[in-house]
Amino acid sequence: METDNMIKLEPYSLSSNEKEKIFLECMQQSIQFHYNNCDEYKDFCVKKKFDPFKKYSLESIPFLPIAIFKKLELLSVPKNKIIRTIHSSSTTGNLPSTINLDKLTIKRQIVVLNSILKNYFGDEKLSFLIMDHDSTVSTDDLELSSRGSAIRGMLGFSKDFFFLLNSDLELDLKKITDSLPTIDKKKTCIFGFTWLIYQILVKNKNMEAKKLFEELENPVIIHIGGWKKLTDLSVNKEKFNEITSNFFNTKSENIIDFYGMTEQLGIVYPDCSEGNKHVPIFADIFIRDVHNQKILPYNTPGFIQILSPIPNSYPGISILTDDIGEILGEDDCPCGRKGKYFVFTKRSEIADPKGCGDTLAI
Amino acid sequence: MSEAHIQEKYDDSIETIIDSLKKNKLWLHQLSIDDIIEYFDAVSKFWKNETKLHEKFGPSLEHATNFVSKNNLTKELSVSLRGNYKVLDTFCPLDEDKKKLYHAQPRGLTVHWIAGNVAVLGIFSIIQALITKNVCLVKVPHEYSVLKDIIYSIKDVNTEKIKGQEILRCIALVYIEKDDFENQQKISLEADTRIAWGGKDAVESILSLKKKFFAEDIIYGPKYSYAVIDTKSIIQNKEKLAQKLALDISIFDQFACNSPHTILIENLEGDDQEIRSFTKLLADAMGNVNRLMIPKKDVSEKKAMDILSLRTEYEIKGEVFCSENTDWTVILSDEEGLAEPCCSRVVFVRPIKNLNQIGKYQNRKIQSIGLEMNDENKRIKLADDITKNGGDRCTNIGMMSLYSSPWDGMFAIDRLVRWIPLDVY
Repeated sequence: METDNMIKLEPYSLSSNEKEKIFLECMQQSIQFHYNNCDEYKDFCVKKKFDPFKKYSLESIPFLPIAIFKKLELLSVPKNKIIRTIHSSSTTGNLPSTINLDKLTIKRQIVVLNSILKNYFGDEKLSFLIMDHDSTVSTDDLELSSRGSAIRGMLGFSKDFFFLLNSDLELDLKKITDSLPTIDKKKTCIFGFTWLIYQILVKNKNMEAKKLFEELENPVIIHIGGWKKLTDLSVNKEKFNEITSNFFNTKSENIIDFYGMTEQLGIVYPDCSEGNKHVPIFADIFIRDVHNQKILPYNTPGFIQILSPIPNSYPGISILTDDIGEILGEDDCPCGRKGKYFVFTKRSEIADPKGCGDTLAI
Repeated sequence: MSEAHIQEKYDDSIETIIDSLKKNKLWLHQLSIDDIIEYFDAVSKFWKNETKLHEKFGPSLEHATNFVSKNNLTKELSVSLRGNYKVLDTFCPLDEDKKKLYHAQPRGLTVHWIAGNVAVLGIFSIIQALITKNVCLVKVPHEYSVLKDIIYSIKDVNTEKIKGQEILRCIALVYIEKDDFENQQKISLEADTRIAWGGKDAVESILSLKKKFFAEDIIYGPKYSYAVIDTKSIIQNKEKLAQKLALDISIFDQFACNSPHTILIENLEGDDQEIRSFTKLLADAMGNVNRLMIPKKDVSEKKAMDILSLRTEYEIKGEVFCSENTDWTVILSDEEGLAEPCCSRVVFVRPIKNLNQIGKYQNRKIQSIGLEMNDENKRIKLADDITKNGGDRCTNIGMMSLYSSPWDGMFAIDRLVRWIPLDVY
């Protein structure tokens, strides 16, 4: 099966065994494509003694550490085929990742994102209240931040949408009052970046804005972007959920954390009703030991490696992330979704000791 | 007098500890410098025979053992104190003019801020403070068991004139939380000399504390080190050099200011094979040091990812020799200049066509330069050229990781005393 057919499958409909053959075949095609079209990727495979034209398992596919996209511009298509460049938010380092997207990659990303969201939220589109300023998405079409890109991706899933923040990223009450009369208050989704939502809620917890949202009936809250900034403030998921459910007067299970990354846009990992993240057919994950990068058994934390044949314009098909997670099982989550399921534990952010060798840039 | 303090739970207040140290200043001052040297020579002999301590502390203790020996201390004191270390006891002439005498008085209370990853380096500033008759308040890092064990090991070393317990009463180790500004400020204000080991943030934070108007600062801040080898030395001696460098790189896992991060190899004739062959030998030596001498401790997740990213980057644009896990990494590339440091036993080998070009990489951030040249005159000339704008020490390869005086451009011993001249009739 080819990737463009595979992405039409229901995302969580196959058991791990059923999926493996199809997924491996798509990965093989994708790896051969990047090997033939990206010199750097080919060099990398050669150095790793990996021959993409021989038989191999998913486990033996070499991975690119995620930070490589901060250091090198890797392309598998001619530069003139790039129609959009995404820059990551660079929360875990000083440099942002730069990801170049061609038409085919974007098309695949849209298909898989819609497929995943449809599985979680059904066919019916929701009214989106976006905790951001509209300028985040209205920048030059060619260059986009990962925040802008994530919002754009979600807009395709909305019935209508309203941005609720002003240019200083503070709640704009007029925008709220303007939007509320026009939306379906029973089918509303509030969407935004985790740290930004938290910041807004803390600032406005006893303010007028909170009352305005009381008109909404059990809204779904989707937040994305990771926990680094909140971890720095010692805010964990439970505390975030408590504050959020209280502010928007919604059930805690309506608060859904999306895990995803700029380097593999389109594939998102929302929490299911059991609090787990599910790996769709379009991707696979392994957990690798931090020190020797060997694959770890289930229920053991390590670096999350994500494989997916979706990227066409850059070789981000097997990425070792700097996130720590653990696989909890496969095919048997009570929520009914098949495939592997996992939890995201944290970003790798433990500081190293700094001594007199903590040199400034040379 | 009370036992030496290891102040972890604030059984005593900082004020009580400092008062106790100040009382011991007089005792230390009345000792003769020869008796102090004899005492530390006994410590040196004690450490030399303590195989268990050496197993625990490795090459760092061996170095400290040599540092406190009579021969070395006599030399260090003489060089630092203008040729006559007896100035620590009384007024002495320093030249033929017998009508002008000089006395090096201790400054008083030295406060040492010790960096976590290179705690053992702190031993050198403590010893230099003691031999110049200063008492020591040591602000230890979160993990300081090595430093504590080394200091406490002298408890039972006694000479005819000095007992270990008495020396220990001149040292107090205190642990103060990073955000305990009140106590950090308190010890800074009491210091007659502030000695700070650490990275940029730590040193900046110490420098921002208030201090006595006349307090002296000795700052061992963030620095970068590298090595240079000429073509002939590589051809003739590459295996030995690789072994020595592997030690220099591994001793502090490159978290110390004197750890080399880049090895520049003179490549006059563009013979890449010699450099590659040296790089492979260095990789072998890194593996041997890790396996047999200084096993690497586990790194943080973030550092592991830094290492993996660098390896991948240079698998694409250079050549990487590394352990199966993240223990050590040798990166060969034809890039020019000094590499950004990664630390954690990641070293870059790079060619340099013209050694005269090294000067342009020099600035005040550079500390140790390991120099291996086949021709001594060429070596001296190069050392002069490259230290014009920066670089604090030029050492033999294999000696980079060892503490020596002067350090960071300073004779610490000289800065730990006040010079008093006396005209005589």
